Amino acid sequence: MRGRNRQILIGGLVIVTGIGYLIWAGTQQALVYFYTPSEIQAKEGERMGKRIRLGGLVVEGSLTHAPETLSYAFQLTDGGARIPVRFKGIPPDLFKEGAGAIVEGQMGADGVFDADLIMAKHNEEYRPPSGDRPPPQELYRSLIKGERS
Amino acid sequence: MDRLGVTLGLGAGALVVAGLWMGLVQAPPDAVQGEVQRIMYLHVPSILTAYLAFTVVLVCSIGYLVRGTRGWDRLAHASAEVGVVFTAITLFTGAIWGKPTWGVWWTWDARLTGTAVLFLVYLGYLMLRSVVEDQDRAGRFAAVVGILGFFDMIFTHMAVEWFRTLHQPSSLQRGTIDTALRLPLYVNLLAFVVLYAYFLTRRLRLAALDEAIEARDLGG
Amino acid sequence: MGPWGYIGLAYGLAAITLVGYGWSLVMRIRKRRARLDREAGGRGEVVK
Repeated sequence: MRGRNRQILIGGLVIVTGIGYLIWAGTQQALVYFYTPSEIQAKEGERMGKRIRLGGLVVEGSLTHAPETLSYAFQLTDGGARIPVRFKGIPPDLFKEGAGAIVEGQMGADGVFDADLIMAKHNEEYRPPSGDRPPPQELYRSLIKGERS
Repeated sequence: MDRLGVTLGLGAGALVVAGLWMGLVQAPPDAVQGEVQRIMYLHVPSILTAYLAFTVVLVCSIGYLVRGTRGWDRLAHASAEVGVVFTAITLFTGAIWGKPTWGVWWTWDARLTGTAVLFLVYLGYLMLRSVVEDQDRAGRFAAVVGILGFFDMIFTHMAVEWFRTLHQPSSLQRGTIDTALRLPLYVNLLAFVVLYAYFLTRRLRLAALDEAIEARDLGG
Repeated sequence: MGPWGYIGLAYGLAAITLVGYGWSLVMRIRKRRARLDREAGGRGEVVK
């Protein structure tokens, strides 16, 4: 009984290590939940017409809203490139200038990203309303990862 | 009921009341999210308690495979069941929190996907146990799943550090949560951990009764 | 739905889940105990 248990344990560990490695290797490549504006700009042609996600901070002063058509126009940035986005619908309450957002849709032929979904991305800071806001560099760092490579 | 069970049950009840008061009344709202951030006091303690439960499953699964004694297996099984309950709470409180903040109930980023897989792996663990008749065989199969699930747990927890996700990184780990909101979180975490311990004692009592019934049936 | 609607939904469902699970444990234990007592046939309670 002991011997069999040990065999199962070792066999299980080998399988788990293998699966773990596959997940790790696969996700390093494929687990890009959203692209940054810089990545979109660098490979604009490649991603044209494909349904993708784009994430960044809403550029201060770029947000315009036409209430009669429920349409929004704004720019997303990662501190480098800026990508213009248009959207029709109701964005979440936390969506505003200077805040993080991830949009779903596709890059239009005119270089404007056509979004049909806006998700507000907030950072990991929690504080009472009287607290101080963190500097913008900190927001880039915490909201947009994957810049390490 | 035994003294340990009574103590843990009463302790958990008192801590839950204190946690509710701190989370819903005493804690200030969050500067960015407002009142709805109070869902954190359920969401974070429940997943951390599930982590604890699945870590106990890991240790006891290894213990069972090495030693082969029923006690290890019984504890692993009990802890897995309680862990699944807390993971379910994490999932639905997360969805309810996601809608008013992110704008969506659900999205397939690495953290959310990993948590869904975590729930399914340990649900599979429980189903495996109910399907395989022989307790020793079921225990060995389940132990392998219990060890495997732990890797998904680590992956899921680290996903917000390793990958781009909609879900933000861990506030506790990064120390980015103000004391006024952190203390209520700790009280709620303690409440959930004691509640876990209470559930565990009840589930172990149930397992002991099951084995007594089985022994009697075999003895005729 | 306002913020307190979401808070109420989350806390309500969590309460139902935890109380429901606790209740299921108590009921399962009670059922097994009753069965053991019945089968013991007056020999007294073997397992507390």
